[in-house]
Amino acid sequence: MRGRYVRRALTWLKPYRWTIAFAYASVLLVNAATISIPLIIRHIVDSGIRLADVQTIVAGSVLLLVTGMARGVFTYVSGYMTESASQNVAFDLRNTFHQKIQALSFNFHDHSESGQLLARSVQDVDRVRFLTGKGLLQLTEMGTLIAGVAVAALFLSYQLTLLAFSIVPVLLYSAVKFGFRFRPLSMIIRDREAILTSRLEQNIRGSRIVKAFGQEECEIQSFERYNARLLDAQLIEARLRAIILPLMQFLAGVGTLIVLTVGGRMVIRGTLTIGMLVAFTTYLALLLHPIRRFGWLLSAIARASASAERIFEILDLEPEVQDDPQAVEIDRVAGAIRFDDVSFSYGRGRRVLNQLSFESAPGEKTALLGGTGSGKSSIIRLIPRFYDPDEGAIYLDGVDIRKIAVRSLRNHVGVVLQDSVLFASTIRANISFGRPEASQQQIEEAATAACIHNFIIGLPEGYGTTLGERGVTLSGGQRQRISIARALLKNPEVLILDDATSSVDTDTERHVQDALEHLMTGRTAIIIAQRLSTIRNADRVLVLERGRIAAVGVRTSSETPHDQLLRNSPLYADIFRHQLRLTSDTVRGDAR
Amino acid sequence: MIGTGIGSSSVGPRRLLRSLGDRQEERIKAGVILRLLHFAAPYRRLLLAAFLFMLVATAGALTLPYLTSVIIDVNIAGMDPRGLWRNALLFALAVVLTHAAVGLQTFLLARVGQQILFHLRKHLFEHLQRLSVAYHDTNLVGVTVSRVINDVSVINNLLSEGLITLIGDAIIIAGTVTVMLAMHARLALLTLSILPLMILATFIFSRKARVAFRTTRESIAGLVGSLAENIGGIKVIQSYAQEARSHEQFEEHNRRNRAAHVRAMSLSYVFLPTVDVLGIAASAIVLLAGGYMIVQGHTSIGVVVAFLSYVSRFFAPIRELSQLFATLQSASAAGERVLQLLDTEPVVQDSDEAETVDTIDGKVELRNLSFAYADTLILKNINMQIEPGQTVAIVGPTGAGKTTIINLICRFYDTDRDAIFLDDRELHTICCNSLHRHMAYVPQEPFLFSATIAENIAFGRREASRSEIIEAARNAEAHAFISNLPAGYDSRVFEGAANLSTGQQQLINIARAMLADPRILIMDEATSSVDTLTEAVIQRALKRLLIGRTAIIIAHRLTTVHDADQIFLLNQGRVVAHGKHEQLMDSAPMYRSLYEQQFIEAATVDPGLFSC
Repeated sequence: MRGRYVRRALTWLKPYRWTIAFAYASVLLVNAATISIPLIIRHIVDSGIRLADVQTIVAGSVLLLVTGMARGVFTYVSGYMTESASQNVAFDLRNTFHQKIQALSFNFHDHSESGQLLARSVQDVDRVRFLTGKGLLQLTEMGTLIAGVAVAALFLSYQLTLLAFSIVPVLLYSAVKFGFRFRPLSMIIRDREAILTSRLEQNIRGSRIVKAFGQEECEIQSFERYNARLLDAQLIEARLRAIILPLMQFLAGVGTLIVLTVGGRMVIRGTLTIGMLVAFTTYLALLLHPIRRFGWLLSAIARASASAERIFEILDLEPEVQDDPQAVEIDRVAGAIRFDDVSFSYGRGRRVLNQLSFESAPGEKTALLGGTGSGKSSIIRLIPRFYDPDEGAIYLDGVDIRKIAVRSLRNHVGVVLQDSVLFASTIRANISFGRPEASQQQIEEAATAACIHNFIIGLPEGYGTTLGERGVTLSGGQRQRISIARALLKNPEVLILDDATSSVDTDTERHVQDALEHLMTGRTAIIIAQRLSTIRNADRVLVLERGRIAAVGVRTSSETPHDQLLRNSPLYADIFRHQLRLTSDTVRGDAR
Repeated sequence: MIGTGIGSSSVGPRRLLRSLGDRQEERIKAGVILRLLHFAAPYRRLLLAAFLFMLVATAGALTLPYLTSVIIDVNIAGMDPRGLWRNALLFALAVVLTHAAVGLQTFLLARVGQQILFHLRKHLFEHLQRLSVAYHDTNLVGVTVSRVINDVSVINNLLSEGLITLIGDAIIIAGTVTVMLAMHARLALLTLSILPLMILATFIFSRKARVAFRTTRESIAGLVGSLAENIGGIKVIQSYAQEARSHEQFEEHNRRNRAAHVRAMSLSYVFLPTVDVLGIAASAIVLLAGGYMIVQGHTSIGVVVAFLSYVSRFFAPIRELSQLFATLQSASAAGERVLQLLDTEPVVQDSDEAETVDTIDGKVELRNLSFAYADTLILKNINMQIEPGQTVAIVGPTGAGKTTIINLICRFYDTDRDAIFLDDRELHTICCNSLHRHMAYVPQEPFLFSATIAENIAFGRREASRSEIIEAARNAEAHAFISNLPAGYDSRVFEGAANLSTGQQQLINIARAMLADPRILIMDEATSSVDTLTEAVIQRALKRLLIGRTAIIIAHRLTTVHDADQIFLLNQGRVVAHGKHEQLMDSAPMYRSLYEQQFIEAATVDPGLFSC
């Protein structure tokens, strides 16, 4: 067990230490009541019933009821207090966790799976909550109860205690063993169920493929294999369950048997009273449940400590991109961008940018061109400081961007990425995402410029339409235009975009193009170009190859970058011809 | 073993809350329950055995306190050591029998339950394979999955554990009451006066728990939803420097979740001690009244001890019985959904005269094909004559009926007789499976299973050797990038093929069709744009795939229409023009404008460039 993480998890209880102290004090009182109840019963039997003393019987019964009620109250108090403290711990942990993942840089998010992060924040936090709450409380309760009962029983009769309680270690052992065998098994079952579910889902999603290739039989066989594996695991669990629980009950029965026979003989010999005998059997019954739970509890705590490790692993990460202590806020940006000998690699991977330098004047449009892995995406990711370069520096208006507060930098740099992520809220909220205070009029202006306003007002709820799972689903082109409106409303001085569109019909495509044109007007723009029209409109074209600039074309009064490059750069000519090879001869043929 | 009603309850507060709160308001349909019981029918012997074991266990559980009272009253109070040993032996025997029976019963029930689950899942999956594509087109994947996984386990709750445990609980309660009444009627009646209070408390709590439980479920869903969205959109959030605001929203969900949980849990912290106190009150009554009666000489100490023990056994059965209704409700609802799925007949079925065909040439003919779906006529009098080995392109605006034609030729959907012919055989006379063995389908959105790349390529011919797979991949121009992957052909495709680019996914789909080596290739060309280099590669691969087969392609690419032997232009369900590309360019203005708009622009080339 990773005791370090358990201890660290417990430090999160610190703000609630008084609540917890109260809870633990209450639990001790609960145990005191629990232990005294058999003694009260013994008193009623021995001093009341056997001596035919009705008054003692009445007084004893009332005392029993009052003790029971007190125990009820303290049970409530301890339960409520621990619950509230541990729910607070879960709340704090989740908040901190969320803040941390919000702060972590792209490099982290590139390599993390969202499902994993979700599981940590939901399941793992819940297990740590259990540990800091009921888990430790119950462990304390059981420990003190077992000790208390043992003392009380020894006080009644040490001989009988030693005999009857000899089953307790056996019980404890089997409980712990069971707990630790049961847990991994239920995890295996859950895994196998998940596998089966995903097989099924895949099969349904691919039903056309399955049918078109006539593979139904094979699919049935493969499903049955996984189905049988699940069944196997479940049957093992069933067998384990069927053996261990009755076995523990059986052991407890043996304990009672010992009390009845040995204790019974002691009563006959006069060394024990009937009341004591009754108290003994009650004590034994009292112990059964806590012990049965003990094994489960220990393995749950072990699991919680593994969960704690997973949570702290994230909390201990430092974001790679951080504000410099002397970072400044920037107010107005002209938009001059300069890359100065920038080298960059993702993590410890291959260098994707190699001592790359270029400059882009305010208001200029720079198009980046190159094959996969040429480094064009990396360039645009460095400008808003999604990553920091390994060597060299990037300047915005002559200021090293690492000296600018990240927040402030990103407020002035707009990004439209290829996949348009929208949030499950209203269209209005999505467009005003970067400027929540924007007025309806400003939002509509942005939407109009993004060529999506007409579509939005055509929806029954207009700008109030909810997007996402429970709302309206949009096509790729519509999503893209909303994300363009979002960038427009933010009105950044520097714009970064990837002009690849995966839109389906030509009509939409033209709309997206128009929207992008609007977006770029009057800003410094750096664009990953997928279309020749983009290149023709650019002021500067960088042809990239393996992280270096292979050729540059600059607009002059007499020449477009395109013409220049076509003349000077064989690589550009090659890329250009490649695109044409698909189409040029045929189109030319048609044009004739 | 013979404890009094003062031990802590054997169920945790959280589980208690869930067990009593998790139910939906649904009607119980007896017909559904009866039909569901049929699934348990093959196991009736095992179930009967489990039931018998349960009777033994219950009898044992009732006997033990009684034996205790005898031991105390007769043997101990009567100073009879020999009788004590005799009865102790009896007690030991009862302990062994009881718990052996409990173990056997538990195991049998679980075993039967899991077997039923296994067979239901199997049955459903086989049925899903028979169902037509139309079913999957109109039903959400998640819903169907939930039928097979979740609903089936709910049904199992009813069939195995549910009913038998509940019968067992009823017997325990009835048995305990009977034994108590038989042992001492007056004391029993006094003690049992607590019972209505317990039932009332359980009832009230169940109702409150239902509301509380629903709130926690919603609050968790809200929390997870907010978190998932913030993780999924993290790059946008950071680009727009909106971390603080999205954290605020998350914190609100987090706060609501905490409140809901504390509220719900404190309910159990009220309920558990209440039941506890009621149990102690019952014990106090036993001691007070019993003690008084002993003093009066009306009963014995053993009876009081036995009563203390019986009293402790009431709560669990009452709680479980209060669930009976909920179990029936949810099983009935889940069962109805599952039965509905099982009752759905596949639209496309082999007719009696359908035969297996071993070889085909690949001649496809549509004769006056019309097709209506949901009362709308989608295709009207379509005629096509496709010779073996020809490549045919189908073009037309969105909604023209292109996909429907493909669906019908593949027999994903069914149509009237005498409309589609393959090698001059009416399509219905060929059994579906053998039809599909001669076909390969390349979907518009490339689809990959989350298996290895080799398994994906060999999907249509699972017996293919590794060298055949590599050969197919080579022909599909996929070999190079596959060999570059860390595990080569054994690399796993992640769910949603997140680790492969769209172009790579397309190439693997082409390789799959290549390996299947079909006579007829059906393809819905992808429209999503990939970079120009990849596009060229895909085109080369496609060209190779088309050689020597009949191909029917919904065309979105220039080269496809240029190279096609025939082009069918569809509009509003009719063939409006038919011929080769050059002919159509001359004779069909609609084709011409469609071509200029859809094909030339989609090729990402600015026409203006060609003037230079």
